[in-house]
Amino acid sequence: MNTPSPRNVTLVTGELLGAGRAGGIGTAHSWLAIALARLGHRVEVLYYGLQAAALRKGNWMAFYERFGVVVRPVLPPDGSRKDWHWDRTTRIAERLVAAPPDVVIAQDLGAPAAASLRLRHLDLALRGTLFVVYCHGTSQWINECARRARVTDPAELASATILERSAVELADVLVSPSTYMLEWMAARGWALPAQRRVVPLLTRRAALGELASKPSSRRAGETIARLCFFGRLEERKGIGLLIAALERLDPSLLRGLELELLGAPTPTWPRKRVERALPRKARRALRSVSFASGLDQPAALLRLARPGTLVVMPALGDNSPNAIYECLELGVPFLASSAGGTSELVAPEDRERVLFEPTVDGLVEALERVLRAGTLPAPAAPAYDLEAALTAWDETVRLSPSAPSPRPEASVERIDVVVTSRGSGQRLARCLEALAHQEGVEATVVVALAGPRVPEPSELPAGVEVVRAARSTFEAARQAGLEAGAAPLVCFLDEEDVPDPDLLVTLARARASSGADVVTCGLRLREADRERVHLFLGEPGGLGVLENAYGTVALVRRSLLRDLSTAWPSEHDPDWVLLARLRLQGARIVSVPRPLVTTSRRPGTVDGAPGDALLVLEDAERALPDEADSAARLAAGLAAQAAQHASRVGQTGGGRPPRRRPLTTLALRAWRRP
Amino acid sequence: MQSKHITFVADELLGYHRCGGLGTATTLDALALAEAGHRVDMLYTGVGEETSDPEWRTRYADAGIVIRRPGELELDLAPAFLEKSLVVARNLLERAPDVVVSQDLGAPCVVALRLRELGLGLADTTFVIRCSGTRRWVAYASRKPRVLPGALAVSLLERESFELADVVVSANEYMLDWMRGQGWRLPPHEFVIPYLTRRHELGVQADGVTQTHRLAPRRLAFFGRLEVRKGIRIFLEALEALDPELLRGVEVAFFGTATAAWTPARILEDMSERVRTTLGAITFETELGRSEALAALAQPGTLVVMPSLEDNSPNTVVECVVLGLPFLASSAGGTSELVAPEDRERVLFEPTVDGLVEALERVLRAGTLPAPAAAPRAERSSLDLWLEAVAIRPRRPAAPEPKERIDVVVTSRGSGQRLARCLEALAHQEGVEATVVVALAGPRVPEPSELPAGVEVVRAARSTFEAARQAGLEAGAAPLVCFLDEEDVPDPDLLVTLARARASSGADVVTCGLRLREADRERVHLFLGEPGGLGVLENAYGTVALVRRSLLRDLSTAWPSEHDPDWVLLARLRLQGARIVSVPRPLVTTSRRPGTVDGAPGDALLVAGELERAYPEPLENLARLALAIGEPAAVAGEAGLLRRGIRAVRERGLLRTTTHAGAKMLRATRGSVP
Repeated sequence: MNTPSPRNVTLVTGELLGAGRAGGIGTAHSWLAIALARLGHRVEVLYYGLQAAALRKGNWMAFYERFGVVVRPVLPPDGSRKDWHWDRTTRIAERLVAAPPDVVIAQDLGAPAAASLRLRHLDLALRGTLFVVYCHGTSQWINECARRARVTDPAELASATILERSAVELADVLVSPSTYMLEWMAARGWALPAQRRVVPLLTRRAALGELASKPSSRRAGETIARLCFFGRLEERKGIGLLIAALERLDPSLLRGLELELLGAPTPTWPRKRVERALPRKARRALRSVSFASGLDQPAALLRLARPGTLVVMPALGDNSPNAIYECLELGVPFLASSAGGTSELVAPEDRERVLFEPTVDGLVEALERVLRAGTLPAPAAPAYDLEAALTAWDETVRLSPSAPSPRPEASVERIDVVVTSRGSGQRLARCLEALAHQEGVEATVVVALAGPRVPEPSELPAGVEVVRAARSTFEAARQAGLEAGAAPLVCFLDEEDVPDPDLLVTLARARASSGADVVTCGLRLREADRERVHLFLGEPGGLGVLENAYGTVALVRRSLLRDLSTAWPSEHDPDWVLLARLRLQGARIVSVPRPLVTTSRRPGTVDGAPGDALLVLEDAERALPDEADSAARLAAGLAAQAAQHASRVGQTGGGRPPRRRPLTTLALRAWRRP
Repeated sequence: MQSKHITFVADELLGYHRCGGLGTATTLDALALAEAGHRVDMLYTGVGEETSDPEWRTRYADAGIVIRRPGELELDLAPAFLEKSLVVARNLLERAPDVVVSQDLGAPCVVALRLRELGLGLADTTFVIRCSGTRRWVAYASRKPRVLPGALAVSLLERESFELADVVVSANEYMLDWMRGQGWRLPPHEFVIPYLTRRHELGVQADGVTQTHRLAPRRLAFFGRLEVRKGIRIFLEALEALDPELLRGVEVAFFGTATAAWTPARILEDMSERVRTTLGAITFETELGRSEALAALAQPGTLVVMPSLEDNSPNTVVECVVLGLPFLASSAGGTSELVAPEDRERVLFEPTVDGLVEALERVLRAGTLPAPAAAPRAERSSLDLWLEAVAIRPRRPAAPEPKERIDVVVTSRGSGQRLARCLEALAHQEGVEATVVVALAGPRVPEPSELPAGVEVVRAARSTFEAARQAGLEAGAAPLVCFLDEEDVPDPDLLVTLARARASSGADVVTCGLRLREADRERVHLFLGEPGGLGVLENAYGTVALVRRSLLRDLSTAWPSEHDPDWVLLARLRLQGARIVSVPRPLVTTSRRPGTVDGAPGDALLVAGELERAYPEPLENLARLALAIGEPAAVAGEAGLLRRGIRAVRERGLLRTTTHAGAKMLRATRGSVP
């Protein structure tokens, strides 16, 4: 019998055990990496978090290597960059493209694999790599569970959410520890891949092959000595619910019990606030109230396993909480809210006994029932099979990728390139020179002189046509250029642009592969003393009314381009107006996550090009239902105001811009883990 | 002709402080109608107690026009931007004129119009809205996307005013077309009535043509505020684009108020040295009064240039036409309607640099000033049209006596005293047949010890608002339902007023204002009813509401509302297409504050979720984005402002807090109204 050959598996994660405080994601990925290595696969971890030094210092690298897992830190992104999440995902993509593995398993949060997935979707790289997205809960899910409406950087969160969704939708396989999380995404209209697996988290015992040994469990019937709230002190983990329940409980039920809060305090719920919020009558009845935080996992588990301890986990929302796994494995008696994916972890016959609705009523009823009985409930049994989980992972990494197959017309569709010239002969010449070196496509170049006063270029490469627009607007020039050609695809450039030799062939290939109506690409933006890469989301949703996140240089199906006129001439970024309109008309837009053009033309923003923003807004409002059509203007207005204010603060030296924290750090704070 | 009592409502009048085009038009319209035999008074809502100009005092007195101020509102009101409209309504209700002629800007009559729509007064009053350009139009014309929530709310009210009025009077077709293009429903009667302004006031003959046009153009006079909307940038770019020989020795003069962005110094700086040295002279007259400016413009050899990007019915053009001054003007907006068709090609140009350059080239090459343009021949005089407009009968709301039964569901959370007070107030409801159901919110709420006869009690299994309401809803069968809370103390006419308003307007949902009990005071809180996208920031729909039972099926939400269940419910109903109107009167006293994004983020997220389901895919994250964008103070981390801002928003809600910004913008934009 043939033994299947091992796979080269790369995990991509921003958390890892040993790299500072690892939450659920870190725990899951760490044990998964070790488990896969023990199953015989060649495993590396691309770690992009901020604690690589801690990994080295604590000898954790050696720990992983003992199991055959190689950890390779990825240089963290520049946190001061506005688009740092793009920076991060493209660095990861570069690493993967340089050495493509058989399998990539990437966390969903923060979308570290977004750029890689997009390159593969556009048939530009990683064709043979299977992409698995491991679902722990995206930014939107975290904020929703935390009931957090406002964030420090809404545009950043919106971008992250779009990338996370895009990564989920482009993956070959989704692995989620709960059905709940898959349903959560589906309910929001995410187009999930056909291959979806629900595989419980691999615990330490499963990863290290210690499933045969069962830890001793608590004895049912022990007298209850203490209630132990197990979880970070935050709303999502139910601290508010606990306090409300203590208010309602008959104090006599609490008499003589200890209350321990085992979990890290948070800025919203520091220890003092918790102390103040605890109902007086409950405090008087309780024997003691104590706090414990900063414990590592073994120490925390020891506390949970103390005789007489009833663990209480009243989370408002959870995916597949490690805390539950730990209690189930140790046989620790607990009461937990049924929110999220928790109930899927508990054997059906035990659910009614140990789970409660995530409301005050639910918790109070559960506590009353147990406290009146006076003895610990029997520990619940797990509903999952970790042996099966190991097998499921082994099977998953052996799946084949669904690589895109290029459409035959990719190589035959002709392209008209319309270059708008506003009179700089030198820049135009540079642009045309670069176009003359385009590889792999058949393209006709038309120079559109923007208006009656733009001088005719003195020299032109052979085959380049010149047309003159009657007006000096971008739109008029492009219309004239458009009408001079007939190719099925059109690419608009400006004399400022210097395309890479593979611009057109890359855009064409991406279009053929994805079937998109419009393909844009990244830019190398020339600024005063430097150049920086600027990438685009492609389909930014509502973010598109705040800034041009669609793209500038674009390959567009000619059939979508008829009347390019606008209510008034665009002042700065005609592509923003055009692409927003096409998107609102239903065109699909993808953006190649690579810079393929060097230019000084910056994408428009509501603050920098308000006239263009208003054109986009007018189009957006026409697309919105009457009942809420002012939402676009509201978002743009608030954003413009915020940008103006931030700019004033900067100018007056009123302080440095707020220190930007990577999304993972923000998410870690939101991610509950004792 | 039957003499009517006509009240003009405006915040500008000739003879008062800061009178622009709006005030001029209003004053002269009023004088004309008074002189035609109507009884005219004016409700002046602007700055200044009375006119300080003796000439105008005499003119008003001679015409029998009484000018009143509406007085102050002696209560604490939210949102503050409704204050003016409330005092105007109070005034109109007292005097009940036959006709009200109101400006559009700021919607000063919206409360009065809404009362009429809801059958609560002014049934015999015809409402005429005189268009000078709404806040939305001003932002559009200025190419400004930056609109804060308070200003956006006022825009919604301006739109509502048009939709409820009987007659719209516009100086041109352009403005009517613009509003229709925005999707606004205009009143059933539309009149295009050119301003009575100069002809009527100055008694100038229709063909006041001078002979200056035969002279050579020696001076180009930019006439208008120095701002982008008035075309300053186009003008300067055109000077750069013109053949220098055409400009040699020509003087350029700027007649118009300087602005913060465009000062004489900046203009000189923006001009190239070539242009500066070619021109004969460059002068600035930024402080002249209107008549002085016109006198200066009438100097021989002057070509007046008015290159606005967008204008409604600019007085500057009217004055040039009436006085026979040679001019070139952009054809933007309503300007072309001020010029006789046969003259348009000669004196108007496209509002672009190209357009202006072509026009100037034509004149400068010809070497003679263009013949002045004539005004279009009017089939009927403006006065005749006004007389017809004010004779229109008001549209009467259907006002059948409400007969439908009402179920009142009162959610009780355990305060016997408050519940008793609420039920006592309900027992005194007049004029409707209502059944009261007390819904105990959850298993632990004690049964009330005493209940008025006929009041039913039901108990919800859970302690959520939604569960209690669902239980109460299912206990009844009346076609209309009103949800209250034990905190609420309804006025005796709550239900009959809501019912009458519903019967009169045909709305699906009717809400009302509140008297909010706060620590040491009471304030009135009113609602927009249909706040559009603003509804994601705070509950501007209403709280106490009369709702058609057929709209209420499943009241459950993704998670229990934490503070304001009405916000979530009404947002959902609105997005499902229900029409919501809000009675602009407090009819309930309560301590329950409407939800805001800062005070109830969980509820705000529920509302955002509802909105997103209604949005098209290209914009689906827009609501969440608007929600997430923090106030500028919060973004910049300015602690003092942040603290004040957060306190203000938490106490008063976002709309009220941003009212100051809205009012400031209103004052700032007034100067731009022609």
